[in-house]
Order: sequence, then C-alpha cells, then structure tokens
Amino acid sequence: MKSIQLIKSNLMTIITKSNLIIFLSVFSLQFYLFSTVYGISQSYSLQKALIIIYYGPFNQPLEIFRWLFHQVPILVLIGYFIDKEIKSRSIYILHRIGNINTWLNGITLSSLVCTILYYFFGLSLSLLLITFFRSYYESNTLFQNFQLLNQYNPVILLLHLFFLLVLSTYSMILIYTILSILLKSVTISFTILIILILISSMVTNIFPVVIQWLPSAQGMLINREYSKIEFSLSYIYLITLNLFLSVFLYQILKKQLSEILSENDY
Amino acid sequence: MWNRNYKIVKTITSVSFTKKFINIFISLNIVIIFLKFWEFITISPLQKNVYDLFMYILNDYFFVVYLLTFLVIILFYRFCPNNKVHEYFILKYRNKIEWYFLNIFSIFFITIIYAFGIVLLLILISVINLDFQNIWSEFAIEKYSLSISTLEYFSPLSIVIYNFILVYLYILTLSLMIFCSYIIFQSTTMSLLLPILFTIFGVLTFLGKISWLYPFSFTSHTLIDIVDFHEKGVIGSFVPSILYWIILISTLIIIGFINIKKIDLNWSVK
Repeated sequence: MKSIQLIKSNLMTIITKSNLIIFLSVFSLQFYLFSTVYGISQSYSLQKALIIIYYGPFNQPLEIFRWLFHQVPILVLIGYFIDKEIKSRSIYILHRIGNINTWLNGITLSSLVCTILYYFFGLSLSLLLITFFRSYYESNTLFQNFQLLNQYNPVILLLHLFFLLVLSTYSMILIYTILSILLKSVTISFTILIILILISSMVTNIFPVVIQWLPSAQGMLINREYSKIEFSLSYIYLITLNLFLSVFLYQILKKQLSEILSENDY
Repeated sequence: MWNRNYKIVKTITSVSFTKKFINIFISLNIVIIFLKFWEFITISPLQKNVYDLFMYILNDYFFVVYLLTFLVIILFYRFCPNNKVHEYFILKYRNKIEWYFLNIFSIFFITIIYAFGIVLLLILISVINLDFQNIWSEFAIEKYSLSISTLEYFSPLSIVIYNFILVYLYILTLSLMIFCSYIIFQSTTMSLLLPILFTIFGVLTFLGKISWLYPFSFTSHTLIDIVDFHEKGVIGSFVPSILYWIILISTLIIIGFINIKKIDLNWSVK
C-alpha cells in the first residue's frame, strides 16, 4: 500500500502541466519532422502509418536524431527526477517510509510506469495527428521494402513496437541513473549516455552482428530488417538486462547512500 | 610576462583535467575514431589514401555534428570554473578581466591540442596501410563523381587543410560558448545546454530540409561540399565561412567580457 502511494506521489512530481506541454510539443514536432520529409500516404491504415513513424531511423547514423528526439525528453526528466530524489528528497522520504527497499522500489517502478505512460500518450497523440493531418503524398517506395510490415498483423506489430520502445528506453534510464551515481553528475552522465547511443547506432552499420546485444538498437524495428532477431528473444534479453541493471542500481545506491546523504548535510 | 602567462595557462589546464578523466576521454576518442576507420576501410574496395580518411572523418555530418559536439561538451564540462582552485587564481591576478582573458587563452590552448590530437591519431592509424601521396584517389573520384581535371584544381591536401581549419573553429566556438554561458548563467547545466540547443537547431534545419535557415547553422560552415567548393572557389565558399566563425567568436568573447565586469562569480554553485 505504501509503495503504491509512493509511486502515485512520484508520478505527480514527474507529470506536471509544463511537462505535459513538453511531451505534446515533442510528439507533434516528431510528427511534423516525419511528415515533411517522408510524407504519410492515405493509402496506409492508421496502425501502419503509426508503425512507420516509429519504425526507426531509416538512414542509420545520420537520422538517429529523429529517434533521439522522442527518447531524450523522458531520459532527461526521469534522470533529473531520480537525481533530485536521491540528493535532496531522500532524507525526508526515507524518514517517513522507514525502509530503503520500499523507497528504491518506488523510484524504479514509478520510472517504469512513467515511461509506459509517456509512450502511451505519445503514440495515441501521433495516432490523433495522423487521422487529422494525413497528407496526400504518394506512398514512399522506401516503406514498401519493410518486411515486418508485410509479415505481421499491424495491431500485433504495434504492440511489439510499444513494448520494445518502453523496455529499451527503461534500460537506458537505468544505465543513465547508474552513470549519474557513479560520476556524481547528471549532466555529464547524460552526455556520455548520448555518446554511447550514437556509438551503438554507428556500430549497427559496421558490425550488424552486435545489434541484438545493444539495448538502444533493440527498440528500433528497422534493425530487424538487417539481422533476423526474434521478438521473444529480445524481450527475454531486455527484461533480464533491466532486472540485472536494477539489482546493480540497488547495490550501488545502498553502498553510496550514506555518502550521498552526508554530502548534503552541510 | 609571456612566460608567466604561459605558466598560468598550463596550470589552469592541468587543474581542470585529472589524469583519470584524460585517460577515459582519450580512450573514448580512440574507440570512436577506430570505429569510423573500420567503416572507412570496409566501405569500398577501391584504392584510398590518407586524405580520403581525413575527408571521411572530419567532413562527415555524423561525426562533426553528433559525436564531436558531445565530445567537446564532455571535455569542457571539466573546464567550467566551478572548481574551487579558480577562487585562488582570481586572487592571484590583478583583476577579473585578466583572469577572463587567461581562461580564453587556455581554451585556445586546449582546443589546439585536442584538434591536433585527432589529426595525430588519424595519421597514426593510417600509417600502416594508407598511401600519403598528394593525388586524388580512385575512391575520391568515384565518391564525388567529378572528372580528374576538375578535381585537380585543388589538391586533396589543401582541401583537408581548409576542412581542418573550419572544424577547429567549430570546436573553438563550442568551447567558448560553454565558457561564456557559464559566466552568464553561473550553472554548468545551462552552459552545456546552450551548445546542445544550437546543435538541435542545426540538425532540425538539416533534417527538416528548411533550406533558408540552413546557412545560419554551424554545420553549413564546418563541412565542405566539394562540388560547391569547386564552383565557387576559395573566395566564394571558404572566406565567408571563416568570416562567419570570426564574427561568432568575437561576439562570444565580447559578451563574456561585458558580463564578467558585471557579475560576482559564485563559487558555491555546482
């Protein structure tokens, strides 16, 4: 019961009115960027058009920005939230809860719930935008070569897309948090995380064998065109990676908590 | 006077960067450049030379805009004067302005070392298997799809030098932007956010194909379009870019100079 209350209060602090406006503008800009460059044909069904927008960067290293554009806001928001939670709010909340494990569970679970809500909001907003602002472009020949679109039922593929997006972003959030605790700076760990994502997108072009081991590449459906990775395998990989990372985060936090708390004790 | 200033610049540099940080940073650079080199080697079986490698890496949109920007941000995050040692430095100088200009000189010093470090790394990588002759290779002729007579108007070395100068000015502008915005906002997060915002602006104009805004972005003045370069020549395309950077750098230095007079530096800000 306590942890549910904790998650609720954490979500209230992350999802504020100004943040909602940021989410809204991010997903609308994402839609605008895509529709001006590629155009979304009316011949596609709604689900198919949505899948194409979030299919991944078509021109791998160069267009990675279009991918980062919707991933970065949630990374920054949750990263800063966790940093604030650990550095300044932990003294008050730990005192109220009286248990480190519940507090840590609250943080990790609420960031997962927030990621799910973020992408649910984003995908449904994009769906709305597609229904109203679909242009009359000719269908791009690039999209016809996508095997997954022809192979799977669009609704099932959309579900896969959603879960993969959430899981890969969540693993990125965990890596970000671990980095920020180890390096003791949110900003610099964010920059290092972005460089890691960029390197991994570069690596997918050079060594396609590595794709299945990179958490950031797992979320992009387009990578499945180059190397055949089963959906079930990537779920197993991402879930175990997330579990491993959260256990690692617990260990680090427990070790460094006394240090972090004493640092703020001026 | 020069000797004293040189010593201070050296001290500022050595105080800002710890050995551990330098090791991590250099290894990150080596990994990135090695991956790019691997990509360059495997991209085509045609004969290539060292100038192709330079053009492939320093004239690459992905490397310059995405990777180099973030690498410079990581490098200059350590330089932001939230270090307590700067408090001692400022006491040592006659006034804040002298301290400010010595910091600017240190930035020049660090960026030159970094830019030449990249060049050294590229030369070291290519010593074993690439040709150093100053002629256009088969790979370049195929890549730019120009005839040899048009290409020979400029030698590959001169194009590489032009490109290197522009990339150096890009690094310098980013680092000055970080330092000057730190002086204005007194917060590391804000100072690192500003170059990222400018990069996002550049990428948006590039990816969104907003052609009327693109000439104002950093990348349009960093990367050399060889075909365009041949048509307009040095005066038509290289000189305007140099002017663009000089104007930007001098405005940044002037903005910092105006603000350093007004502001009390708060050392407790992290």
